Amino acid sequence: MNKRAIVFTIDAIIAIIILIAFTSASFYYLKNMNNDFGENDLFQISQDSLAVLELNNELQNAITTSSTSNIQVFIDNLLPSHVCADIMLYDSSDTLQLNTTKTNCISSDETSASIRTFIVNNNFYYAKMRSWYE
Amino acid sequence: MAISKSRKGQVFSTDVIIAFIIFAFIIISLFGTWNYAYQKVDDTSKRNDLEIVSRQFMTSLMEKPGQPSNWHINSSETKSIGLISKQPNQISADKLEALNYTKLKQTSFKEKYDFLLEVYSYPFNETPDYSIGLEPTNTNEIVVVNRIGLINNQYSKFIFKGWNSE
Repeated sequence: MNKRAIVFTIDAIIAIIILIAFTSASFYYLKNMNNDFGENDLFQISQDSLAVLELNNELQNAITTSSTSNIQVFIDNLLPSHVCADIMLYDSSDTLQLNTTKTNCISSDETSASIRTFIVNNNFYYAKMRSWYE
Repeated sequence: MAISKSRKGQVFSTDVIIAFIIFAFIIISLFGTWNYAYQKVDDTSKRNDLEIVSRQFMTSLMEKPGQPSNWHINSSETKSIGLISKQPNQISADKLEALNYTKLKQTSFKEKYDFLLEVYSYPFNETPDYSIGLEPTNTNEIVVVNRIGLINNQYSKFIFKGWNSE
């Protein structure tokens, strides 16, 4: 008569497992819930860069002189230090004419790209800028 | 045979103790999760609002001329403030010089937030070429927005810092 029994059903075990799983999943989701404005920032930097390069005629000059030296100076100095980028110039038949990458940057698969068209001697060209975090 | 009616019985089995511990664990877990979730969602919501307001503020400055477009000359009728002269990212030095902190905050920013806008023209100095606003006081929650523009055909970096001043 002194022996005591403990009720330990499968129902109770399943309920506890579900509770622990639910609580853990909630914590994991909430802990990793970040404001995802990073990609937006990269896109904005690319848009701004191509806009000012075109306004300053640097995209057009690069095609005319076949040199990206001024564009190189721009991406090396104007971009935030933690942002890498490359700029490629194509003609209207999608043939790569020139390209340049920010110094000391290694290419990445996770990039944000922006495209801007411009005209040189009545011919259409476009510049594609990809940016990513270092 | 007389049975005493004053004796009382108490149920205090191991089952009940274990059940109570499990129940308490469940209640405390739920309460903790609820509190954490509420706090996290509230923090994220406030942060997102500051991020959105800051980006809209900089978009307005860098991509719009303001209303009226000559607000820097006739400031009494200013409805919104923008810095561009002809095209987006082409910044008018006159408009930049005409910026007024109080008016800028009234027309373009929320009362509970504060900001600092610094402009560095290339080649860069250590100190900004132009600055408006207050140094951040709440260093935990600062939103930084980087934009690039042209001022008198000079490349310029616009570094905006927004934070909650309440």
